[in-house]
Amino acid sequence: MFRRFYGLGVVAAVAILAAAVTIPIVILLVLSVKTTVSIRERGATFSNFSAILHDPATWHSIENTLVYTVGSAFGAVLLGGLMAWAIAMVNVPWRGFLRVLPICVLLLPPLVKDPAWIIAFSHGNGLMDLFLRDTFGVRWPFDVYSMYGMISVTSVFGAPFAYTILLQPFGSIDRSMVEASSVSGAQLGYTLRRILVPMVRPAIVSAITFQIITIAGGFETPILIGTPGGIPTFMGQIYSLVSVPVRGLNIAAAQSSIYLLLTFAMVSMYLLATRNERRFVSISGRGHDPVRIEAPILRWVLTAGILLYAILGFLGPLLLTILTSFLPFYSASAGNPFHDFTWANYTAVFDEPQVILAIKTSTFIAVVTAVGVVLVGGLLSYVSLKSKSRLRRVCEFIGMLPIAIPGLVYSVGLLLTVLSIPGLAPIAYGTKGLMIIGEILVFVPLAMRLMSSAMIQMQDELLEASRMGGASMARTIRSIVLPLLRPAIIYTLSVTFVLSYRELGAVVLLVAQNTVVVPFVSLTFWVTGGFTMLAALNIVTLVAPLAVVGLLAWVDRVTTRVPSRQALPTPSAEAAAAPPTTLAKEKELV
Amino acid sequence: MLVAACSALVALSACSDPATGSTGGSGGTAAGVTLKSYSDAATLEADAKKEGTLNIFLSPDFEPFLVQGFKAKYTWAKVNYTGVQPDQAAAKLSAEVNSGLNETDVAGMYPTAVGGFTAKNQLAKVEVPNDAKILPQVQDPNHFFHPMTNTSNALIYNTDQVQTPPTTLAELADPKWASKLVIQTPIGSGTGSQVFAMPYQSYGDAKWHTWLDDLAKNKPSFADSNSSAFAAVLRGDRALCICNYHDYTNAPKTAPLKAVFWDQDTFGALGGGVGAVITQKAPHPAMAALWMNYMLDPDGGQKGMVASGRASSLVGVGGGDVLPPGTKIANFNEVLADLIKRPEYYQAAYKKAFGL
Repeated sequence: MFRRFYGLGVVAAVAILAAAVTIPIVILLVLSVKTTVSIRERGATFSNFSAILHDPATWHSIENTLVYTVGSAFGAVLLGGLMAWAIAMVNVPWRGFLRVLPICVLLLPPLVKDPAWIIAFSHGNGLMDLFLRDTFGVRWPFDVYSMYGMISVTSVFGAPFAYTILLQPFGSIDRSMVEASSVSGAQLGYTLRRILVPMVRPAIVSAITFQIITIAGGFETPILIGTPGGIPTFMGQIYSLVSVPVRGLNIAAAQSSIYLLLTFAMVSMYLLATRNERRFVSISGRGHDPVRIEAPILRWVLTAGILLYAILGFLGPLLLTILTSFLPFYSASAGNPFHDFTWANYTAVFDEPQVILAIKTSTFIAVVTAVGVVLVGGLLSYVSLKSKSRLRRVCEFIGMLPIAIPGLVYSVGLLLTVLSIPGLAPIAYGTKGLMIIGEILVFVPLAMRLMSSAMIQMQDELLEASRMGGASMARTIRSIVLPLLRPAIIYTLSVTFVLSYRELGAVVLLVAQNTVVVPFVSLTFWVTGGFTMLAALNIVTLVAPLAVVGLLAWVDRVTTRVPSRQALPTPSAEAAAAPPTTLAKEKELV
Repeated sequence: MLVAACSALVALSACSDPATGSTGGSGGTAAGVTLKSYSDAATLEADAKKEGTLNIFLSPDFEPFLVQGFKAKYTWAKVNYTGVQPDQAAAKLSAEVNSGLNETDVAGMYPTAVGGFTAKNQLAKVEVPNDAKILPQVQDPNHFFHPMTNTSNALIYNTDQVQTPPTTLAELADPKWASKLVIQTPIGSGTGSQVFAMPYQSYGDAKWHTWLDDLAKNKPSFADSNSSAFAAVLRGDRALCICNYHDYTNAPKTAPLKAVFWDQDTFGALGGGVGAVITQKAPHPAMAALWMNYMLDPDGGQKGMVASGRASSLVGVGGGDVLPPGTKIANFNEVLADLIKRPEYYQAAYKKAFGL
């Protein structure tokens, strides 16, 4: 009975997801050859594509976008991968504490990182410039309003994604492989190059691909730093176009269509890179002992690096935001801007009726999105990786397809889909449901990525052993799959809640009366020049994500069963020397 | 799946019905539909009370004063308000009306965006009792656009970085102002688009393009809005901006800022501001008209505008921005007549000059 429901559930989920993904794409494609936003307009025209392709600014923005996305993606993967490797495989001190530091960056509310880096690193009036000038008489050479600035900001704040993708694979490499290499006479460098890196190659490739696609789809840094810096990007242009009445949306649709071609290629590359996932299984029914590289000096260098990252990516922006939130206005043109503190910004924030509504709406949407994403992503991951269903590749493709669509573009397509289908607009337009659909689809690829990383490491023999023992599919999922995936599930819930809470692109065009969300209000504050009020709002809206993440961490802790000392028999010397069981080592890894 | 999508695209494109949804109804007059006009405030309120609800897109700046003031005066009214900037409001409205969805009653937008809607008969004309109080220089004779503010723009500069500011738009092309100016992006219908268009009629086409190119060589920074341009100057990111004078008057007195008005010997500084329009198929037309009348009410709407620091759009009503004596503000409809007529030409010129 469960198998039948499971089968029907898979088919239904795939069909609904496929429709939710493809219909907005089709609508976008249709509108890209129209001159109004009505699909009932007669005829088609390629004038929108012609206008884009014959515009020199388009090629300039494509060039900028390529440099920005590829540079940022490699920067983020390098940073995130280095941190993941250090925490998973090197004997760094305070491992439990360091492990969560990169994730803290994700807690920062929307529109914190770019304003903070503008304050800190502007050429001429940034805090770093003031400090170096007053202390050493030299100027800070780095201007945040530059391509280097954009790449730096995005690398630092994109590194947590690469970190989360790569942490599990690094942590799951068995010590026996490294020992076998060293016993054969290989040095550490050779072992890294010929054994460890190839083992995590699919994760590295998928991390790079994932980063390129998500960075190219992001628009906060292109808008806040790129536009003032005179660095037009593809996404910045699309955002500008959707603010232009009448034909702007059609040209945006055309521009988005061109973007989709590029990202489809990326998704295909990702699928190609991970098609042989079974070769990279390392958690099996046999024992598993993670690698710990003993590096007496390197461990401290890596620890210092991770702490520096935490300062640049989390503590620094947070501190600057807190200080700015207490200023009547921010001006560094005459030196130290931090004086004459006041509570006025917090009073003004709570006087804004939209703020309370936005916090409630964002919290509700983020909770529903996180649960929905785990269910959908988990189901698709399981079917694509652990089942023999004919829908395996379809599930994987459908699940990853939304990554090819930037949140902002999807927002356009979803809005126009609702407006175009007769009878749908009165029930769906301007509702939280529409925003939830948009956000679930935007985050399903991430959830699949996070949960697939855990599922890939779980060899099929565990499931086969359960079935051979007579357990039903439901029992296997309940007793084996879910416990093994529990850390990944809780992690995915936390990450998705935080990201959904701050997601702007997927909802910016779906906001209507009474469905205002926090990121939208934040952007409004920025656009209306409320720099210090934005800082106050960012501090106020930290509460919800922190509370939820804390709650999930507590749930994870209380549901982790720790065996009583009295329950365990005293191990013999041989038993003590034997490698621990799979489940016990899994707990240690998390 | 992509092949299927493309096939669907071709099929849909070839088999689309004639476009009637965007105007619909009776087909409208040659230039918009005339809703019921009101000469009596009591009748207007009575009709509006029957509807009870107003759906409005409006800039967030106005919400604490105009929207709250309206709700305080008409306690029976339900206002569904969405805070969006004028250009975004126009874009959302465009998406809705072209899809046949009639959800919005009133939208705040720039006057230069109105033409795109009236050309497609998507806006409604309405006359309300307080129309007679509008200043002539900002009055729309066709009664589509009802001004909320008569904002003046000024050249605002950071006194820590600039001691002698430019006094004409021509001077901005001087290399000494390289990397100094920040202004709202000229893409769209906002201040950047309007300011750069101001010299066109006095320069002529060739000289204007040359001026734009020289301006582009100075690498001005473009912001999303007047207020974020102002914030950039206040922070010290850039030395000067062309933005709303009321941002300057509302800034703390200790802020290192000063303001000048440009081209006082020729066409003058930029006036105008934002206003509101009613959609052709507004679901609550009487409420929309009531909103317009309140907006133009010296006691109600004007109180809100004064509190927000904006200048009044009404005759004989003081408060808001107090300009220095003798300040020359250009007549919006005269100086920007060509921009209003052919905005695409200017957009193309800006894109070419600034690489946007």
